[in-house]
Amino acid sequence: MSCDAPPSTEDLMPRRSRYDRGQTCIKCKSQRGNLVIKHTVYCSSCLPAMLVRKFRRALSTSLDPAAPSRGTPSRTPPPDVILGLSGGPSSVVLLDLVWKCFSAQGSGRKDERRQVGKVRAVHIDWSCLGRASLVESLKENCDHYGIDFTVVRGEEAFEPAWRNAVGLDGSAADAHIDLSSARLPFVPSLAGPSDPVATLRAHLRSLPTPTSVPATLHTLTRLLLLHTASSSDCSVLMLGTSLPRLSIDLLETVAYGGGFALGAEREEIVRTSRGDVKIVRPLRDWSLKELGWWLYSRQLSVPRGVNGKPTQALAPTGGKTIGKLTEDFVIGLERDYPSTVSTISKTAAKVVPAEEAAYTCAYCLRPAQKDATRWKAGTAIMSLPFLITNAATDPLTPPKTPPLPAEKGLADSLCYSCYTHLTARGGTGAGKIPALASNGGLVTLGEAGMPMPVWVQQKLTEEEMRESIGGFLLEDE
Amino acid sequence: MAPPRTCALCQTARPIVRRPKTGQQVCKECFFHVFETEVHNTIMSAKLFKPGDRVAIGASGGKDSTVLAHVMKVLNDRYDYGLEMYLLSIDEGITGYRDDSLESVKRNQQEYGLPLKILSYDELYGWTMDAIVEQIGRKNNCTFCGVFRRQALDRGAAALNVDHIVTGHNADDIAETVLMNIMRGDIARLGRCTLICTQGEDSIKRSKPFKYAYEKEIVMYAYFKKLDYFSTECIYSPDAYRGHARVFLKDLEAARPSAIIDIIHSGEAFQIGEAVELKAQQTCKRCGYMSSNDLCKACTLLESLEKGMAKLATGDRNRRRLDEEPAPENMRTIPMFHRATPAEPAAAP
Ligand SMILES: [Zn+2]
Ligand SMILES: [Zn+2]
Ligand SMILES: [Zn+2]
Ligand SMILES: [Zn+2]
Repeated sequence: MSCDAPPSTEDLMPRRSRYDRGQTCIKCKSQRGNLVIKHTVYCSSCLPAMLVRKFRRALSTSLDPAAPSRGTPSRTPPPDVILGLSGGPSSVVLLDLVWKCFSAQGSGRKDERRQVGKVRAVHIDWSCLGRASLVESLKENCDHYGIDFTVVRGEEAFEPAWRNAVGLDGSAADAHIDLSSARLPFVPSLAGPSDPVATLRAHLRSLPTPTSVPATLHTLTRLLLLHTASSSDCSVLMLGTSLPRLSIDLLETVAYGGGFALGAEREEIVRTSRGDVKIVRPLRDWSLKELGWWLYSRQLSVPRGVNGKPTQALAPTGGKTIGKLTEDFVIGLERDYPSTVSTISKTAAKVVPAEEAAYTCAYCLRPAQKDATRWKAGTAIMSLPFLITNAATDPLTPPKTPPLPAEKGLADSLCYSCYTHLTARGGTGAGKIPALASNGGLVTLGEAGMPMPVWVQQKLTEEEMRESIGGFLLEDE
Repeated sequence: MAPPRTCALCQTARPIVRRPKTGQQVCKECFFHVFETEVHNTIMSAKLFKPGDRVAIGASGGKDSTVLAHVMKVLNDRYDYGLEMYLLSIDEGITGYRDDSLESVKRNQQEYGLPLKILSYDELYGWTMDAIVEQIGRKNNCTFCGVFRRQALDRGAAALNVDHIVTGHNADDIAETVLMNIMRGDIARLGRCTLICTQGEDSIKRSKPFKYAYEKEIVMYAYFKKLDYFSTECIYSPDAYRGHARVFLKDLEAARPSAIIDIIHSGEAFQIGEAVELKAQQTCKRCGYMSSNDLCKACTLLESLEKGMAKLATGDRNRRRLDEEPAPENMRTIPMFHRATPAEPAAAP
C-alpha cells in the first residue's frame, strides 16, 4: 500500500456494534425498543421525552432555567423569541417543538411556558435569485401553530431604506469598495440609487470565488435575521440547525480561516445597534435520524423538494464549492461513523480562542483578531512593492504586521474569513455561476466598485475621506 | 484589448506558472523570490534562530527536506542568520526506499557542503523497519516508525551537539493535522499542532520553517531549481485517518487555493502553550531518554518486539498484559548520545 492510497473505511475508526444493551428500551426498561439512537435503544414512548430534553438542554443557557414557580410574578420579563425558518425539515421540527414546549395548546408546562415571551417566525426569502419561494407553505405552517410569520426579502440587505427599519444610522452613504487593492479601500459611489436586487447580484458577482457565494448568502441570511430580531426587540434568535448541519458549518468555518469565531457557530451573542441578540440552535444535538423520526411520528410534512439550503440555484458550473465539498465529506462520515460528526461539534464547544477579540467584523459582526487581515500579506505575498521594501531595507519584518502601504480600507474592519471571501482567488469554477451571469441591473462595477450590504458602513475621518476620493476631486476645496 | 500577459508581481517578465498558493501568474524569478521570502518571514516572525545556533536539517532525501536544505542554505547566506548547519538522516531500513533516498541525501551533502550524519534504526534499536513489519504486519507500523524516528532524530541531534532540528513539514501536512484533530476532538493536539517550534525537556528545539509552504510549490521549486530528490513516498501504510483528511484537503485546495493557509490560520486561533501539556517527566530507566513512564516509548516498543508481542504495544489496554511478561534477557539498551553542555561547546566537526 502506498501512502497515497485511499484509506479503506475499516481503517478510519473502529466501528461499534449496533446494539450495546440488548433490545429493550434503555429508559423504561420494559418496552421493546423501536429506534436505535447512537447505539442505544428507545421505545416510542420514551424517545420523545429524550428528544425534548435535548432540545431544552441546548436552550438552557439562553432561557432562565429557574423559571418562577406558579403564581409568583416573574422577576424579569422572559425574552421575546424569533424563529429563523429556512423551510427545511429541521425548521419544521423547530416550529413544532417550540409550539409543543412553550404554548398552552401544545401542553407545555406553565412554568416552562413562562421561559419565553412572544414568539414569532421569520423567513429570509431568496426567490430573487431564482430559488423557489417557500413563503406560502411556511405561512400555512405558522398559521397552523398560531405563530406570527414575517418574510424578509434577501435583497433588503442592499435596500438603503432598510437601514432605518433596523435602527442603523440612516444618514450613512452606501459603501462601495475597490476589490483590486488588497486593503479593500472605499471608493465613492458614482452610480445613483439602484434596484436592491441588482445591487445584491452585483455584490455576489464581484466575489472572486464561487465558494464565497453560498458562504456570503449564509452570512447575509444570518445578518438579516439578526437585524430583524433586534429591530423587533427580540433578544433570542432560534435556528433549526441540526447536528450534521452544524458540523458542516463548523468545518466550513475552519476552511474559511474563521477558527477564531468557531464557538459562535454553536451559540453566540451579537451586539447590534439596538441591543444584544443571542443566537441559539436548539436542534444542534439532533441527528438526521432523530429529525426524521420526529417528522414521522408527529406526521409533519416538509415542503417538497426543500433541503433547507438556499444556494442550490447558485452552484458553479466547474467543480464544487468548499461548502458543497464539506457537506459531502461530513455526510459521508455521518453515514459510516456517526461519532465523528458529533465529535466535530464537541470540539467547537471546547476550543478557546488564544487571544482576546480586537474588534467586531463590520460585515458579519463576529469577533476578529488583531491584524486579522494583515497576517495573510506576509504568508502569501501578493504584491511586489511590499516584497522589494521588505527585502532591501527591512529583511526582518515579521509577517504578522507587515509594512503594508498606509492605505486604509474595509480590510481593517473585517474578520479573516470575510476578508478571505472578498479577496481569495483562483480555484475551480471561478466566476462561473450561471444564475449570476445575467445582469438585469444598473450597476456597472468598473465605476462603482463592489457594493456592500447596508450595515457595512464607511467610518472615516474627513481627511481620510478626502484622501480616498482625492483622485476624483478636480481641485482643492 | 486584452492586456499583454506579464508577471503579476514584477509586471515585466513573462509569467510561466500559476502560483498554487495565490493563483497569481508569475515569472520564475518572482516565484523563487516570494517562496523564499515567505519562508524567511516565517522564520523571522517566530524568531526561530539566533546567530551561532547549530541547526540540524532532518534530511530524508524526499522533496520537502531537499528543498528545505536548499532554502535554508540560501537564506542563511542571504540574510546572515549565522547558523552552523548539518544534515541529519535517519535510515529506517526499508529496502528499496531508504537506500535510494539516502543516495540523494549524499548527493545533496556534496552539493551544499554540509556535514552529514546518518543514524540507522538498526544501529540504534537493533531492528530495521523491514524486520518490524515482518513481525507486526502493515497495520500500526507507523506507530513504531513515528516513535523510533522522533527518538532517532533527537539522539542524532545530541550526537551532532545541535540545539535545533528543522524538518520539512509543509503547510499541507499541518492543515491536514488541524482537520484531523478537529475530527478526532483532540483539543490538546489541536492547540499544539500549529506551533512552529516545540521544545522537549532535552532542550532540543524542533521547528517547521515550511509551515506555510504549499506542497505543490515545494515540488515546483525543486523542479525549477533542478534539485535532486527521491520521489517515492514511504511504502508502508500511513495513518489511514490522515489519508481521509488529505483527500478532503486536496479537494478544498482545488476549490480555493488559499484554503490550506486559511485552515492553518484557523488552527492558530486555538494555539496553546506547550507547558500546559507536559506531564512530570523522568528519564527512561533503561536508556536514559526522557519519558513519562519507567520505560520510554521506544524501549517499550522495543521490548514488545523482543517479546514477539508487538501487536499489543499500541493500545493502553494491552499494556498491562505486556507488562506482566518478564523482560527478555539481555534487553538492548538504546545508545544515548549526550550533548556537550553549553559551557563547553564541542568543537565543530
Ligand atoms: Zn421506554
Ligand atoms: Zn466577518
Ligand atoms: Zn516576475
Ligand atoms: Zn528508553
